[in-house]
Amino acid sequence: MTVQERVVPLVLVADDDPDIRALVTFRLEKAGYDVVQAADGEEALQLARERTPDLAVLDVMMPRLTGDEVTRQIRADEGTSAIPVILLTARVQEADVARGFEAGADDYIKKPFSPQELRARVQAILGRR
Amino acid sequence: MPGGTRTWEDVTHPEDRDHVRETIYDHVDRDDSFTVDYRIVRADGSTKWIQERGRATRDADGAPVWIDGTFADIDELRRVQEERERFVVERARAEADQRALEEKNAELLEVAAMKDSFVASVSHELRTPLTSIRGYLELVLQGEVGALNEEQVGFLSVVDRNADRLLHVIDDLLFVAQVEADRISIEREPVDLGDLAREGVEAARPAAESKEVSLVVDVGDGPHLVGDRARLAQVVDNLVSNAIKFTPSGGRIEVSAYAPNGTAILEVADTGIGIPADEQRRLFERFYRTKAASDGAIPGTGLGLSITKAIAEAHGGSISVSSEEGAGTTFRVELPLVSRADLSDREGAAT
Repeated sequence: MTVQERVVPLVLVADDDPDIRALVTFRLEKAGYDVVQAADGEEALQLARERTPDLAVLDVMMPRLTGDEVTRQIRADEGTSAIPVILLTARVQEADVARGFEAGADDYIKKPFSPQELRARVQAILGRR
Repeated sequence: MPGGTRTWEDVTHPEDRDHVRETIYDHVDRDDSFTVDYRIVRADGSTKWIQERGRATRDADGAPVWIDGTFADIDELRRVQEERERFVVERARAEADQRALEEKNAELLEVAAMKDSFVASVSHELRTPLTSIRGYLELVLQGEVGALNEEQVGFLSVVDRNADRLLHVIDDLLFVAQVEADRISIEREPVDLGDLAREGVEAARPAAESKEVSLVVDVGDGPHLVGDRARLAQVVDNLVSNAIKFTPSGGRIEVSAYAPNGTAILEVADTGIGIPADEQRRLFERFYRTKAASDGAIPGTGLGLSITKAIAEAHGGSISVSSEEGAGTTFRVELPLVSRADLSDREGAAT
């Protein structure tokens, strides 16, 4: 199904921690989005290419490929370059945040985050499209 | 010394006699020419380096009769040589020192990098479970998975509050680790210190009210400065929450912010229990807790004031305290209106 045919926006959620993945998925599904999940960076990249989600929520510190790297590769590929990216980071130093933006992220959320805040940020990005 | 004549033995420096004699005999035996350097002792007792070159002259039977030779004054040459040797030794030592320093430096960089990655991974490992704890609690408390009774809400709120407290401690510890590693980074954004003071006071009002302490804020517009809003808000929070902790009910806390002459000043004055003089100078040490705080089982890690001081200093400012036991305490933070970080940024832009 192409992006244009989708009625409900599809969000890719990638985090190696299954509890956090389930938490984000629950919150976003409750808010009315479809969610596709990935447990590591490579899976996230693959799903981004196969499904072309309307938004990707990526943890930064993931095995196999970091969130920064996934973002860079999403941006580099013509088929996925328009997908907005929100990074989830447990790291707090400015340099980490700067690296995420340099990779091409649209927004970042610091862990621990409130699910409600996450939903608001997701809505802010999807609502403006 | 018969007739005042000095023999070869007298003239040759005692330390050189043996090797000169050996060298000459050796070469005469082999019918070879020789060169030997040695010191002579002059009549006034001073020494001089000379170089003797020679070869034995032999009779018809081949027996050595005398030695033909020359003497050269090599005193200056020798001195230069010695100086050069000394220089070579010194240079080798300096190079070894330099190498040792470079190795030490590489080691220190490695330690710093390890510390950084340790802080980053601790940060990640502690924040990830807290994300789940607080996130799921929020869903439950918001009734997303069914209604809760009042007691359930009450108990889960306790869990939530304590998760929050844990997060603050983690943040404080990470901040201290960053300060220690000299990795504290300060944002440069326009900050209205007066607004921060008002916001900090409003956030602390419930705690002050429940303790029946009056909380007054005395700020006008500004002071406006360039700095890190979140960190400066932390300064206000730390000082106000400390004041509430150490002020008995019926007391008063006044927060003021002003800029008398190019310096922004934030003051938090309380009518609390005060701090004994001998404890005042230790207040800003990491993990230091006053006797009153530990005896009174007042919660805290002893990190707040050291963090407050580090933030003030990272802005090019300072913190001071004046206190009288039983009368109250005033903390005073002074911050330049244009931070050092901002200045160095401009210097960077100019070059």
